[in-house]
Amino acid sequence: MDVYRDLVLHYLPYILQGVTVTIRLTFFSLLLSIVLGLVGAIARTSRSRILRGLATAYVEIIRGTPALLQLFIIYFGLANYQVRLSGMTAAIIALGVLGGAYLSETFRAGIEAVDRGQVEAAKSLGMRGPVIMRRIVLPQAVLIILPPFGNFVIGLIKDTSLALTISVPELMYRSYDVSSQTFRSMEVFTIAGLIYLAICYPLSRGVKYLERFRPPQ
Amino acid sequence: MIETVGLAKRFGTLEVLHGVDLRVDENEKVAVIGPSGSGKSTLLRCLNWLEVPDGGRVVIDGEEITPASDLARVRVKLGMVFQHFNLFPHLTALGNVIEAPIQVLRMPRREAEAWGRELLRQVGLADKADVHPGRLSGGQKQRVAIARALAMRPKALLLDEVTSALDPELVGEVLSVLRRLAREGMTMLIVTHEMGFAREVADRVVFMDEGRVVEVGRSEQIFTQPRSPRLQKFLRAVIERVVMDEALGDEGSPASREPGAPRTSPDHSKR
Repeated sequence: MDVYRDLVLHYLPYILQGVTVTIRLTFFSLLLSIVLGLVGAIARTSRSRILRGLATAYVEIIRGTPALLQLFIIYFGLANYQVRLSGMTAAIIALGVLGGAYLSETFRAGIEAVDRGQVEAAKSLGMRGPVIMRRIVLPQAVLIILPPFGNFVIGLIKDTSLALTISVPELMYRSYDVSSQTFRSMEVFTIAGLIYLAICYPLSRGVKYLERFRPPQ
Repeated sequence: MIETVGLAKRFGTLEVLHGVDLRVDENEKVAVIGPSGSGKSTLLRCLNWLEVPDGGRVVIDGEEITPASDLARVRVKLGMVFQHFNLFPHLTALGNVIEAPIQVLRMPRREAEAWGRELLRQVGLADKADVHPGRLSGGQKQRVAIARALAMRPKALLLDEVTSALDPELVGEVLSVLRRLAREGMTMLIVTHEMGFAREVADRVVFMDEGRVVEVGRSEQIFTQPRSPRLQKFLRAVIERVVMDEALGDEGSPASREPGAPRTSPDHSKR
């Protein structure tokens, strides 16, 4: 237990600074994911074949390649073409582009899951497209999307650990750093694991709680 | 008020409507009856362009509907009530009623709420204003749906088999609301399987089969002196079902509960 006490005393502040980096990384890549996801979902449900084709290609390319490879292409690959991004920026772009592809599928499914009769009823009352989307379809789609969206956010938090590979000083990077200085790998990574858990578990419970607000059909 | 000329609709290769002519005058109540799949609902849905017709004309309140028409504005004139209610599940009963007045008519919320509560009172649901549709019975849902349609002060109501999804014991409460609306002079186009109700409320009855209007007449004439063999056969089948239900002690068949008290109605044969 002394090992843990010493680690906590000497290295915890350093590791915890990584948490703020992890959270910043999650927040900005989540924003980018939501924007790209909405654009992707609208493109996939659009009448234009070109837009649908582009959106489908985007989703399939991202889904068919490893996240780590996407990160390396943006960080190392682009550097060959004089696009030198900071590790943080590269990680936000890579995770945002990855997340956008997944969320576009989730958003599309949510919008399509709203019963067609809802749109018909709204139309018959004289509502127009944007009002129907905003007042009738989206509020119902959000409730349908909530559980997969919550899972996505939790997955994203864990995926930010990939940024370790391009030296972004987030939680995983700092834990690795401490473990190589102290050679207490098991203890250090256990602590890091508990920190990840402390962030993700409340989120997971929060999503469960929000699900209860789904109105009975 | 509502007129169609040669209305046609196809779904893929399936021709659902083959040139339907229909006319509903102001304050008139017209029932559309016929076997399942005869195109009754499609006809109704073509009137407010929920289905875009493939041919023919639709004229609502003197205005022909074309692809260039402002559909949202035309649709306000035609309140629609659906078989499966299509209430907005994320809104309360009152929320369902006032959503369109607020969003479309730009009615101030306070005024809309007072109006909505008054409509809910008229359909006997004053105490359910704050309840979500999921907690209402089928009959209550359909009454909210009627209040929602009325909230836009439509010039006519399109009723699409509004009692078909209801448990038999809940049909009566919905029909009594509609009966009152009919008495108050609302123009109504009623697609229904409730023969007793059609006979009682409708001025005229349109019998459709296989996408065509087979026979049109005053309600009394259609039910007592059907001319076409197809209508005769259809009515016999309906009566047999009613008799069967009664023999089985089933009070569910609304036709048996609604002895078609014939109603004096203005003569429309002169048109």
